Order: sequence, then structure tokens, then C-alpha cells
Amino acid sequence: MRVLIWLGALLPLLYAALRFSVEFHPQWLYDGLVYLEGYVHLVLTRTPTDPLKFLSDLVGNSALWLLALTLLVTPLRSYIGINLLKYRRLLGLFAFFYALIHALMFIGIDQQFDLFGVQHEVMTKPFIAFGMGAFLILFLMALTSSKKLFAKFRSWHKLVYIAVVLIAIHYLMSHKTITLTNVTVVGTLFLLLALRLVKR
Amino acid sequence: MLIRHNYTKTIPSNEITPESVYKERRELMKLAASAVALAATPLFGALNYEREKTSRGLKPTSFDQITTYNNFYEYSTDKESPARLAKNLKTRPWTMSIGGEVQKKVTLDIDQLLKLIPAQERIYRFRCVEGWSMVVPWVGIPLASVLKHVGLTSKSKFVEFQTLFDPKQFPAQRESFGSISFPYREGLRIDEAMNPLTLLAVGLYGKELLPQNGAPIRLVVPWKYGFKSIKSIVSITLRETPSHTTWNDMAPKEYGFFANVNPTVDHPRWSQARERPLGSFFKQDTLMFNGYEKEVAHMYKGVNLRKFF
Repeated sequence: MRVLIWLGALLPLLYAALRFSVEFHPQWLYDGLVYLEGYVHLVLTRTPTDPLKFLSDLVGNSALWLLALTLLVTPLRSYIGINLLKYRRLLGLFAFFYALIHALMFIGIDQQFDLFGVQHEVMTKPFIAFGMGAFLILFLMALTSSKKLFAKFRSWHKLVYIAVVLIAIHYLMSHKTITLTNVTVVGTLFLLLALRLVKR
Repeated sequence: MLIRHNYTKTIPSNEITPESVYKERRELMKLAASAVALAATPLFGALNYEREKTSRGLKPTSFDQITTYNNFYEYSTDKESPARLAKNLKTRPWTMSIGGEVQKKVTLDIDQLLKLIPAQERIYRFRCVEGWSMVVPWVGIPLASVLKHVGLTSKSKFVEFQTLFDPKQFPAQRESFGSISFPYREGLRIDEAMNPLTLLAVGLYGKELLPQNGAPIRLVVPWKYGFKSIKSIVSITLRETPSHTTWNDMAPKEYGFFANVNPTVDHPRWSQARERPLGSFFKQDTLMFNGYEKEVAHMYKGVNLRKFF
């Protein structure tokens, strides 16, 4: 199971590697991917036209879905009896890993590590503030995720519910218009949140 | 609302129909004569046009990237789908009506229009409000030539453009849970429309426009954010008052009527100071008026660009 989670959680990175190496693909791989494209609704054989946007979206979405999975752990146990509790920390850490790349792209590439610039963006743009707020919560949770510290800071981890709400708003605001897909994603997030909060 | 109507007062009436208009008519006649020769050549994808003499050091984005990364909400809100969905757009025959406050209302067939006014190449920067940019070698005709052809009046103060409304061809126009309202509309002030940079593009890289890029005829206003450069135009209306414009109607605090590229005025959700050139891993600084300050800044002298963004 642990191996499966690792593989699944690293899929986004594999996908990125695949997209950025299109030019170097041997013919058999390229042909195979073209064939696959017919079945999955994913672009596989084109180098991303807007690489920064592609990466930022990919890691942002990955963080969102991994965090959603951590919310699913408790309901899975109480409703269906599948116990994945011991893997929740790993899922959460992967969510943080992608959120970290996402935040570092903003701080490093967007703002060129100008911390006053970052502060200005956070203060003037709610969109950035929501994202940064969620990241800080995840950061705090990752820091206190060791067995010893978790015992001490257990209650702090309830902040994840706020993080999810912030992420949902941040996600919606990242689009110029709201489409049915966006609504479905946010709907799913809130459904998971509700399942998690309504215990037993 | 107050914001939208205030700037009508900023241009005096005598600037609206420049004296040079009728002087240039003579030149237009000459051009029309030379166009007869061009007319003999059939249009099969390739266009006849006058090559741009200077690229101003701009390196065009690849044809592949320009034609596969498109914001065309009539098809989809994602940028890779239009290339796939737009293949069958019927671009011939195509007519464009020019009406409203003009001397003579006309409906022009696009091929006739191209015979009347010869096309030229213009290599322009193109900056999207989302923060990415590219360089496009457009082929087109100056909007000013077309407007001079129909003749302006003292009441021609604004120009309104409309995209084709045809739910049979544009899937997103059939959806009820829409992203934006259709038909797509855009507008310019008359001095902006008459600026020599303003182009009605019919091609890029020497070929007719592909549907995903706004075939068969689209606006290109290089110093404004890309959403001003309306695609697949069916009508141009000269007006005395500003027109409604799609994005401004939808989110007036985020998308202004002017929408001039301005690195010092941020979008409420993201900074406009820098941009991501397509295909590049690095950002570059965004230039005031997208690098066309010399050609256009005079039109906004004394205008508070933070207020009239």
C-alpha cells in the first residue's frame, strides 16, 4: 500500500517529466503515447506551451487532490471499514510537498525571492492571501507531523478544514470564469469536508 | 457606469475626423489600382502581402505555439481545445457589415475587402491579461483604411465590434451554464481605432488565419491586453457613445474598457509587472503599452491610467 501511495503521489511529476521530454522520446514511446491519448483525456505528446503556468497548475491541483484524499481517510474507516489511517500522514506530506513547489514558484519565479514583494502581493490581493494562508497551515502541519510533535499539536491539525476552504476559494479565483468543471471540483471538496466533519 | 462615460469628453470633436482623410483617399485609389493585379491570384491559404521591413528585434513565437494556445471562449475556456474544435469553422463566404455613424453603410465580402485594401505584415507583441505573451507576425489591413473607406462623421466617436453568433458552429454558445455572454463584443475609442498600429488581421506567418486564431478576420490592438483583439468579426458599428464590451460587462473591476497593457496597474488577482513569453521558462518585464509607448502614449495624455485602466 505504501508503495502504491508513493507511485500515485509521484504520478504528477512523472507526467511533467513526460511532457517536457517529448522532443527526446524514442519513436516507440511517442507512438505509444499518441495511442494512449485516444483513450485518456490528457495531452501527452506536446511540450507545454506555457511551462510555468503548466507546472504551477499541475502542482497546485496535485496538492488539492492529495489533501482531499487525506479528508477521505476517516469517512472510509467509519462508513466502509477500510482503515488507511496510518497512511494519512504520508498523503498529507505529499500534499504539502506539491503546495511547497507551488508556493516556491510564486515566491521564487514570480517575485524573484523579493519578500517585500511577496508581502505586498499578500496584502493587496485576496487571491494570493487565501493561497498563502492555506500554505502556511499546511506548513505548520508538516512541521508538527512527527509522532512526538503530533501528540503535542494534535488539535492544531484541525486547521486543515480552514485550509481546505481557503484552497477552494483560491482555486475558484485562479480561473477567469467559473465553469462546470470548477464547480464540480469545489463541490467534491466540500462534500469531503462535510463527510469528515459529520462523524459516525 | 460613471467611469465608462467620462472619457467621452477627453477627445475634442475636431480630432475625430482628421483632415488627412480625404487627402489620403487619392492614395487609396492608387492602392486599389495596384490591388487589381493582386486580385488575379487566387487565395489558397497563402496570402499576398507586403512584408514587414523591420521586426524591431522581435523574434516571432513558433507557428505551432501560436496556433495551439488560444483563448477562444466560443469553443472552450481551455487553451488547447480551440485548435481541435475549430477545424470546421466556415470562413467563406464571409461578410462583415460596417454601419452606425458612417457616411455609407456597407456589407463587405472579405475577399473583396482584401482586393480593395492590400494586406501588409506586422510583427507585433501580443500580451494576454492572464500574464503570458507572444510575438505574432500578423498579416492584415489597417483598420483606419477600412474606416476611411466607409467615411466617418462627427458622430463617429467609438467603434463596436461583434463576433459571429452561431451556436451551430460555436459549441460554448449552446451551453446554458456559460462562461461569458455571447455574442462577444469589444470596443475602441475612435482615435484608438484610427491609430496606424490597429490592424484587422486576416493571416499570420503569411497564411490565412486558422479558425482558432479568429479566422477569417480579427482585430489586433498590440498595446492592449489580448481580450480587446476580438476574433471572427461580423460587424463593425460606429457609435457616438461607448459600446458594451464583454469582459468589462462581466467584471468591470477586473477588465477595463481601455485595457491598455500597463505593468504598474495590477489585475486585482495577479500582478501585471512581468509576463511569461510562451515557450520560455523565464519571465520578462512587461513594457508600458506593451512596448508601443511612442506610438500610442499621446492618446492618453493627462488620463489617469489607474482609474481608466
